[in-house]
Amino acid sequence: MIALDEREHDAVCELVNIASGNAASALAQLLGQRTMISVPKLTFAEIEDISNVLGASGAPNVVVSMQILGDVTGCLLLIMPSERAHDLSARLLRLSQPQSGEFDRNAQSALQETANILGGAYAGALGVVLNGIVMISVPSFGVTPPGDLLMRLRTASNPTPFGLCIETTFTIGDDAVECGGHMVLLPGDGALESIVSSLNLAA
Amino acid sequence: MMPYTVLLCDDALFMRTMLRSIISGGGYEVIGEAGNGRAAVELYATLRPDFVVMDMVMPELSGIDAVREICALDPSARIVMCSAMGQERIVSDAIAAGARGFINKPFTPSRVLEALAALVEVTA
Repeated sequence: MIALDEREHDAVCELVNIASGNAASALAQLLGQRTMISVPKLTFAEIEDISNVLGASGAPNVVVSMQILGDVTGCLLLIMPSERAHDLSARLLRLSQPQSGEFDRNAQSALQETANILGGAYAGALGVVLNGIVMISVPSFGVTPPGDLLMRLRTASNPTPFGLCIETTFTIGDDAVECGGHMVLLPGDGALESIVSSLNLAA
Repeated sequence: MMPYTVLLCDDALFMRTMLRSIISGGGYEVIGEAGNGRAAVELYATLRPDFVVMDMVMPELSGIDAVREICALDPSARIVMCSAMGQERIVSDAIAAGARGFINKPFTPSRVLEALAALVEVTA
C-alpha cells in the first residue's frame, strides 16, 4: 500500500494537469474544433471507492480499456456516458445528428481512436516524468456499468488496491457542447511507487 | 505521370478512413489497407507500394515489428510511422527499425502530406 503526502499529491495533480492539457489539444485537433478543458478533478482512492464514484450499479457506460506497457504497467480506462459518447462520435465522424442505441463499427472505431490519442497524451506525460518509455495497447471497446468492470479488473489482474480517477469535462466548438468522462488509471505492481519516486526526484 | 502508391496500416477503421481521404486528396493512390502488422507485411509483399503509413500499436504484429519485417524484405522500403506514442525514445526506436519519418497523432492534413513529400525526396 502507498499513501501520498501533500507534496506528492500536488505533484500528481500537476502531472495530470499537463497530461489533460495535452489531451485537450489532441482532441481539438482530432475534432477540428476549439476545445476547452475544465480543471481535472482528481480522486486517488481505493478501487472500491472509485467504483462507487462511477456508480457500481449505474447504467452502462462506454468503456475503452488499454493496457499500459513499458517502464510501468497497469490499465487505463476511458469511461463516458453513452449519450455523450454518441455525441462525440457524431462530431468525429462529421455526422449531422448523434446516433442512439448500439454503437456501430464506425462509432466504435472513432471512440477507440479517441481513447488511443487521449491515452497517448497521458502515457507521454508519464514517460517524461519517468524518463522512460510508456506505451498503451490496442484499445478495447465495451459498453458496461463501469463500477462493475473496475471490480472485475481489481479481482482479476490489479495487484494494487488503489486507482487514480480523473474526471474531466471538455467544452467543444462554438456551441460549447460539454463532453466529458473519466480516465481511470489502475497502476500495476510497483507502478505507483515508480511514479511517486520519479516525481520526488523531479520536485 | 503515375501517382505514388501508398499502403495504409492502422487497426482503427476511423483513422484509415481519415488518412485515405487526406492522402488521396494529396494526389497519391491508396492501393491497400491493413488492420494489423501481419497483414501489413503480407500486403507489402504483394502490392509493393511506393510508401507505407504505419500505425505503431496494432494487434497480431506491432507497427515497429512490421517495419522490421518489411525492411528485411525490401531494404529500400519507405515507411512513415503514424502514432499517438510520440515519445522521443519511441520515435528513435521506429527510426532505428527502418522508418523514414514519424507523424504524431492527431495530425493535420498538411503534416501527413509533408511527411509523404519527404518520402518522395528520399525516392529522388
